[in-house]
Amino acid sequence: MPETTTSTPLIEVRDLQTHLFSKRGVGRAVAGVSFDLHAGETLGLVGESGCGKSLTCLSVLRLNPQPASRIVGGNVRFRGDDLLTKSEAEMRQYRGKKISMILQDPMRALNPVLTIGDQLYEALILHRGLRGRELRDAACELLERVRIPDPAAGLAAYPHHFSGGMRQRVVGAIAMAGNPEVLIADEPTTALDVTVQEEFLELLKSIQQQDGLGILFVTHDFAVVARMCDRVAVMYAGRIVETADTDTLFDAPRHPYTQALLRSVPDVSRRDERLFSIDGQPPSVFAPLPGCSFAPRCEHATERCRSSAPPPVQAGGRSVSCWLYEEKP
Amino acid sequence: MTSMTLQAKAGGPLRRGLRKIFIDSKVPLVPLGIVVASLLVAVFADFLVLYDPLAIDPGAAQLPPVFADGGSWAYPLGTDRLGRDILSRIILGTRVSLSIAAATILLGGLVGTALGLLAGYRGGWVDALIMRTADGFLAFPSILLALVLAVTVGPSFWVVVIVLALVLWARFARLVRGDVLALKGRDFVQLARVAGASGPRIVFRHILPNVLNTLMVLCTLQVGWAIIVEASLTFLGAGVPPPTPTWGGMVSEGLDYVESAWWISTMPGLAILLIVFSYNLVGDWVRDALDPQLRNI
Repeated sequence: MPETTTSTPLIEVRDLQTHLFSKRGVGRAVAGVSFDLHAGETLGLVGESGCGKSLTCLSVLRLNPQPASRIVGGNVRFRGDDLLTKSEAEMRQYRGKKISMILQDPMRALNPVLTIGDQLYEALILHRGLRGRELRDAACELLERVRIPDPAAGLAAYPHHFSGGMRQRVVGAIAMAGNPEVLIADEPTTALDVTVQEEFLELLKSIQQQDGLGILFVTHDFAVVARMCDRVAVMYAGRIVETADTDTLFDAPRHPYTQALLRSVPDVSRRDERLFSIDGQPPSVFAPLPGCSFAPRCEHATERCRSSAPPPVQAGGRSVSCWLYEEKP
Repeated sequence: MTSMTLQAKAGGPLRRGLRKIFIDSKVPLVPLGIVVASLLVAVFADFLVLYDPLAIDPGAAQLPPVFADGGSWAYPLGTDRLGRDILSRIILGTRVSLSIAAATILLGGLVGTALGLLAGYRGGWVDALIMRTADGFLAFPSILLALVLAVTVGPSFWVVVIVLALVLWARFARLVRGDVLALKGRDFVQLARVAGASGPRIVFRHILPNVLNTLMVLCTLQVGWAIIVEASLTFLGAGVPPPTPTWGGMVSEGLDYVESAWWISTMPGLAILLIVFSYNLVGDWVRDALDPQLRNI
């Protein structure tokens, strides 16, 4: 492992562009996304539906739907290795072994006709080449690790015997089978109810602490962000508009979109107030705007915002893409 | 009134026992028994026949079955116009008909499933090519093809199998492709890809097991179809050539004598009905039995 310095990010994404190709033309769904993910860190990727979060995650693994979409530019590096130049066979050495992923709906993430054991075995055979007794023990250990009661019986069960929370933990166990260094969690708790969600987040945290896992945590739930993430990247219309430490972001959001997003989080203590919502719709990916894509919905928008897109401005570990912060970052 | 209907419903111990065996239990005992029996008959046909099914006996022509006027136990299902024992011919015909069905389904099913998996998984021009070809084969009149082959290479067992398989593979391919398309987008397939599984691994390990239920049902349903089409081909002289007894051939042989000797056509016709019906019921049961949602831990 070429670990040069401790500050080398596990994952380094630079100006990633994934375009959709359809009859309506070319859609700039991921339009220049950059972020770093370090070991032991959880980076939140936040944004509304359709802003390109999931496609970004899939693009990192080069599993974006083809031929409907294609990565057309940018860089994805894992410990410095450029993943975009790897062959399909080389990529398979990264998937599951270095970078793993869990998806939103645990009810659909497991193969309904294979037992939990078979699905764990498959990952273990694929990644660790285990067999026989060792295989079974490793599978039991994984189930134990994700706190499935009676792991030995769990191996023989089918997915439909398990509840949603248990299934998501099994999905987690399968994702951890290859001892990955990075876990991409694409809204892993959205389909779970609140108490189960809490359990699952706690489990993820404890696994992260044991393994020093870097987690890319996609969500649109700020309560989960506050609970899980060290840093947050806010995504809008295919771009990351602001990146900051979680505390900083909550205390002093800079980008008008982040501010609006935080204002629209319902507050239980003020229940008679009307919920805040951002007027208008995000622009279509098929008709990108020449300027800042948030300009039509932004109260601070000027002529300049509408004509040219703001570059990210870096300062004090945070980054914001907005003309408002050009002089005083 | 209510208590009376309840009582009538409950019935005596015998009726309750019968209901338990034939209605409440999920195993279709009678059809399953017929399917198993048909397989045994096909295998041991040589030992089960009462007479040589091909032996002509003009003295015993058109004898009625035992339960009709003038019938006797000597020929339980009667004889045809050449005096051949119908029961013996049905027994040997079981082997012929089921062999054709099995060979057809094996051949067409393997080819069709493989091409369906390929088309569904790869998509793009591979999919287009395979599926348009399948459409072509489905649109092509199989009877005409059989007639052409029968004229050029002569009618035979294998001509029938190949003609049926040429149509059947397209049905399998179409069904399997549809399932694969639906399964390909499912999260567990996506996660298998995330886990670094290769294309063939995903197809055989994750997609194929999910298609098996459909395949099993299609296979059992096609037994009936194969027997019926084989019968039509034989009727037109493009099937298994005489004197080999086939059920379809026997039905067509007896058609001219339906008014005077109805049993010649009716007996093999009943055999077709019984077998097709039984295989379809067993197919339904197999589908339910294979559904893991219904399976107990």
